[in-house]
Amino acid sequence: MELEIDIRTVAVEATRTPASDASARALAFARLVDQQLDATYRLAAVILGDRVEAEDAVHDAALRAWAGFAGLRDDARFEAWFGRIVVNVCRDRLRARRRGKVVDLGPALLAEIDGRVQTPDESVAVAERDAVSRAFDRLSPDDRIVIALRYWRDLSVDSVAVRLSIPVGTAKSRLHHALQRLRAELERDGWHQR
Amino acid sequence: MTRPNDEAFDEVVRGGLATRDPGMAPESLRRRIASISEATSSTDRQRTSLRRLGSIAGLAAAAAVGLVFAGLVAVRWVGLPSVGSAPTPTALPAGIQPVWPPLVPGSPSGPDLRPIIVGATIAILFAAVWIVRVRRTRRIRQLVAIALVVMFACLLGVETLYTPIVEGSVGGPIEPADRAVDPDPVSGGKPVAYVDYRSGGAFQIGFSIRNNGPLAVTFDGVGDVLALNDFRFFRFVDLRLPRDQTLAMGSTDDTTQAFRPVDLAPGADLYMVARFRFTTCEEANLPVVPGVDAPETDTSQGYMSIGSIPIRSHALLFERITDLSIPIAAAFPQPTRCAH
Repeated sequence: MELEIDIRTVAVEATRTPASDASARALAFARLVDQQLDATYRLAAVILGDRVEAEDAVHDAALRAWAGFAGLRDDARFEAWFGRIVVNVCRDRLRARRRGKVVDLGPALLAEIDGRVQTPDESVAVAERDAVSRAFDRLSPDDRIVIALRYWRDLSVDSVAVRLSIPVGTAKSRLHHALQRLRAELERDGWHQR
Repeated sequence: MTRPNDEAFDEVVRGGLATRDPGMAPESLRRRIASISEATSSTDRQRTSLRRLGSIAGLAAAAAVGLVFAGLVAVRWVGLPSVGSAPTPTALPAGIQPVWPPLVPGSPSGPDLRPIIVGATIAILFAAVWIVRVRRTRRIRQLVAIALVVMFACLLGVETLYTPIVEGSVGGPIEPADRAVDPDPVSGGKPVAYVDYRSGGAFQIGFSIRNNGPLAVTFDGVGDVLALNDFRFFRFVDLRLPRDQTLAMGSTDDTTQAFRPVDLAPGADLYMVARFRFTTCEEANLPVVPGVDAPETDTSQGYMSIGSIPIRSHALLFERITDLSIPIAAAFPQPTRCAH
């Protein structure tokens, strides 16, 4: 009788252990994603130029990350790993667009500032930022990503290379050409240096 | 236009990107993210198991195809004699009179594509498994599944429809000595050769087949010989291969050998000898259907065409049967009474 009780106890423990492990991993995943959520959402929004699509992209990235979370042995690498997934999801979404979707932020900005008086300098600055945003929307997915990582995320070129899993030289070259194309797009719109 | 210097341009870019920054993640997104691990943690082990099963199944499929490929290569390199390259002619044994004209073996029209097809299939399977493991999106899985289904449907279609075995260039009786006549409309325009009926005797027919497709084909033998045995006056005995395909004639055990499966290169001919035995008079007059009397035979000469022989072969994996019309019609006087 005593032996029977022991066996039952062991059986209960054996069934509990994997479930509790799974719960612990789920909690760890939720905590790690939450730490990165703002940064990744903002990065996705900058790259995609659409808040709603950025939400969907981060959600998709989180789904992918959860699917592969069991294979991530070191939680300290989660930030770079998850960031890479987000960037890849953004790239996929941009490539899925048959034509570059141009989100014109000009009217939105004008509506925001409509209620207050602007100085001439402020108006020019707003128009310039608007022009940059529109030119940015016309870039290729890879150009957008490398510029966003470097100039919005403020990553070093080395970090950009790590994030994109490309050599540093390639990252430098890709950034250089992306900026050239952005400048060309701006100039095509009649942008002039202030 | 004056271009701004790099630093100034950097600031312009930063300012432009800042307008796209939406700020903190909305609460709705936080809830969506939180629900991912909560909803899926309970089924995580099941999904992991399924994923492992899928990987194992994929690897098993690839291994199975690999084994088949290895088997094909091994059989091709070790086991089967391959026809398609011209063997050295040998002298005909003394006393054997050729009935067929000298023959020229078919020259291969192209390389054997079977290893390429099988190798490509293995490569595609490995690539599919790799892609599914690396890019674990639902869309990728769907695309890979569709691609594999289409690929296997194509292979199955080719397997089903591919019938490259055709009649060869020659065919005719070998022995006993025959009386060949001009093409006769009764025999469908084929040259008719009379084979004298001899109760319990034997006669042989030589014919060739050709691999008319781009893939090498393994010729496995004849199919259902019962169809051949439907003829009341003779029985199919066996199939033999001439020892010398360049001569492809003669009928004795010296000039032929027992049949064994042969690889036929694309465009190659294979010559063979089919041996038949005349039925005895009593067998010939047995009722075909038990209980029903045999039809009364007349005394005139009649035709008894061999018709077609079912050829059994396979090009990749599956066996196929090709009904091959033998380009002759044997004819002989039908016996009316059994002479004892």
